[in-house]
Amino acid sequence: MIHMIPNTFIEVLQLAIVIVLTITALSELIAVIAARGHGLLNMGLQLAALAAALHISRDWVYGLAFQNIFSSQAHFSEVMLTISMVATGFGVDQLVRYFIWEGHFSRVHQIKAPGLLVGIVRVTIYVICVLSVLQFVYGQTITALATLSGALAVVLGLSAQTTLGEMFAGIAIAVSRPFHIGDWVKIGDLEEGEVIDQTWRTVRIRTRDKTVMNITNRIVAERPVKNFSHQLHGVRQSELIAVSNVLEPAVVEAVLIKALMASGLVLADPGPNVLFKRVYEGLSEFGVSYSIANYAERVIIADKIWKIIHATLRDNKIAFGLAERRLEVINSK
Amino acid sequence: MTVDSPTTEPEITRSSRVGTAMLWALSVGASVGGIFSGWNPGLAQAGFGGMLVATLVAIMLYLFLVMSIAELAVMMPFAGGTVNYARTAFGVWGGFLAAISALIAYTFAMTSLMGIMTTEVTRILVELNGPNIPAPVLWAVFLLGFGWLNLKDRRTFFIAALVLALVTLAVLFVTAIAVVPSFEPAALLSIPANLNGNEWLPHGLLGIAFAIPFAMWFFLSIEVVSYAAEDALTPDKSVPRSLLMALLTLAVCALIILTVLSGAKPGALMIAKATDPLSTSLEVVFGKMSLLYLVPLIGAVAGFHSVIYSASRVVFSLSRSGYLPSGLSTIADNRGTPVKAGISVCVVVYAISCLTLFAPANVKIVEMLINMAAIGGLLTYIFVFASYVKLHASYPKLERPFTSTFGGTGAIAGLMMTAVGLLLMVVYAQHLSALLGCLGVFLVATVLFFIFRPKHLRADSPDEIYARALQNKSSSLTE
Repeated sequence: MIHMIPNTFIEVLQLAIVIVLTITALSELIAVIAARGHGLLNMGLQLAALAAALHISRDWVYGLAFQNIFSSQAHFSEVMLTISMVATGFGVDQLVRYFIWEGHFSRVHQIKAPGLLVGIVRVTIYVICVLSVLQFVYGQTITALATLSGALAVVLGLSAQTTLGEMFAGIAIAVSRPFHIGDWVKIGDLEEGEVIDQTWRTVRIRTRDKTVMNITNRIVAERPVKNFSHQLHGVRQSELIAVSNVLEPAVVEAVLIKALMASGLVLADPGPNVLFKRVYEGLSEFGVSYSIANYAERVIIADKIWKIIHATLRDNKIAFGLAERRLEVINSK
Repeated sequence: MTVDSPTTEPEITRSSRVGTAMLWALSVGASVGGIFSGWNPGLAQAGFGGMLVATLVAIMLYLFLVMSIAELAVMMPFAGGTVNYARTAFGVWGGFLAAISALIAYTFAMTSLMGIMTTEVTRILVELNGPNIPAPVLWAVFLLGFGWLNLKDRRTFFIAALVLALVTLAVLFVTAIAVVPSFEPAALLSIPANLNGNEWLPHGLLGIAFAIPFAMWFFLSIEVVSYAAEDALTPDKSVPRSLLMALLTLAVCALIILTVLSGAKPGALMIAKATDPLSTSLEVVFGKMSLLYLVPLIGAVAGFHSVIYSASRVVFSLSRSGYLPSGLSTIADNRGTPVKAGISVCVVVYAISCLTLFAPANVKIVEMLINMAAIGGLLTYIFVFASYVKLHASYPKLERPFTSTFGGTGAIAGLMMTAVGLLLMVVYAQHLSALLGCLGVFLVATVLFFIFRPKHLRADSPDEIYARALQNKSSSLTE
């Protein structure tokens, strides 16, 4: 029965709830505007609660304030339920944004949530919302729609099998996170490079010669990924150096360690290391290994270190080794 | 980012501090008088249904208020309460105007409560064929007695507040139990409806709007805890807990008394017109008894005891910051209470009460003083909410040890509701004179302040140190 003023105890309580929710929703709106968009989560939930309260109180709310706006109480009720469900969907979307995209990804792991994943989740939330409105508010059976969607999905899946495969591989990479944008990686036996982008189809890598390599997500997902940027103690580099074997190995080792430490280019922890490898053809060969923090500068650092080693050996009067090969010509005659 | 705490330990914190239970008692004692009387004309405005809605809306408003105060009091645990929040948010003039609002609220509340106490004591003396004691003598007795309890030492004051709070709650409980047997649902809806209404809302929806100021009586003065932050052992825990517990206690009592008294004999129609609704209901059950005159007296006494405390803390804080002469902020060494501030409050209240003797006979002076106190109270709420919003807008990155669950939204909602409540209170015809009275006090106080005090403002009081520290760090807290 439509009337304009609450006339039962329950309706009086409904009135109190509607008044409080109207005031808080209005305040939330002012707060969101003042904070330039912050607080949308609360706004969505407030709006959902207010629309639900108006729907529940339709017997007197419609007669009181909405009779001239909506053609019937049923129409008013449908609109309120639709607003409530869509606002709930918006609230859930904001909830996921706050706790997952900005919470789990940004605040906890300091990484940006992959746009592809965000897009898929948001579309899913709103599709569920729209289907729920169709089913529960307007009484439209969504079985046919779901069947049609399923058939459409099969057709699309078959015709775009490769593309969908790339997309799901992209989601798998986004979730497992073997690398981030800006990392230096080597994927399988492909050339190493810096990850500059990931789309729903490919991973883009810029190699040392500044060319961009597009690798499809499926290849990335199937190959081993060696990440040079996520080492806790830098990346270990090795060089081989040969000097004349007239000197004691320990002297050469001490000179090389000192040169590496003084260079300021290598990490102190773990520190550089020099190993006496072998003697051959009149030479003593040493293995020099050291750690660097930034793999992107590996080549430049190696160049500088070689120059420092060269200068240090020269200052200490240690000659680079020249292979001595004795040729004996045997005159058979 | 945090703001360094003031290096000067507030003087008021010398002797033993108190915990949640004592602060709860202070808050309940200050507000519970509103459940004894003052709310019932709301029934005539809106009927039981409308008064119930108004009470639920008021509970929401006070929930926003206590949460906002809890956040601000933990940030600024100083004796000035609202005055300090407004000073920090809006500068010296903001603090000054908030101080005048608080002083209006508490001094006029004291005066009106003293008037109620005098009336009830005189009625009891007449019933008992006792001596006819002139009102000024009774006022002096009340002020000396409760002033002594307040200023003797903190422990005595809070124990008395706890006893009074428990006694008032017991009286409410006993009243509810006593009148319940005569409860009839039909009596709830006995207010005659006009053309726009029905039995639940006899004057339509507009009646609810006019009932809101009366519903606010149930909780008026709950905020006194904000003036007790310097007396609290752990303000970051005890202030929020005590405020929420006090609100819960008062809300439950208010809903029970509203429902039981409206539904029990003699019914909502008679209760709406009663000067003292509790005694009116009890008279139906027990008949006319001298003892029943004690009921309104107990509510007024509890409120009077707590309100002296708040007023003396406001004066103490204003004096410490230089808004009032510095001699008033002296603390008694062995008591930890602001003795001179308390005495000055009692003297001012006595003087105001004496002036009421010269009021024309056709002026309802006690009613006007009550309304002035209510308007002052609502103005302090506006300052609390506005300070909360301003401090959040100006210093969003300031670290807050306790944050209101409702945040800026709750404060904005509270601000709107209080502004509407104040407007309705003024629109209600008999409150216009109270508003003019408040404006007169504001005008006189502003002129006096402008002439005498600007050069005496001090920078070394704890609240002033905090406000200046916050301003100095503002650049790093605004982004």
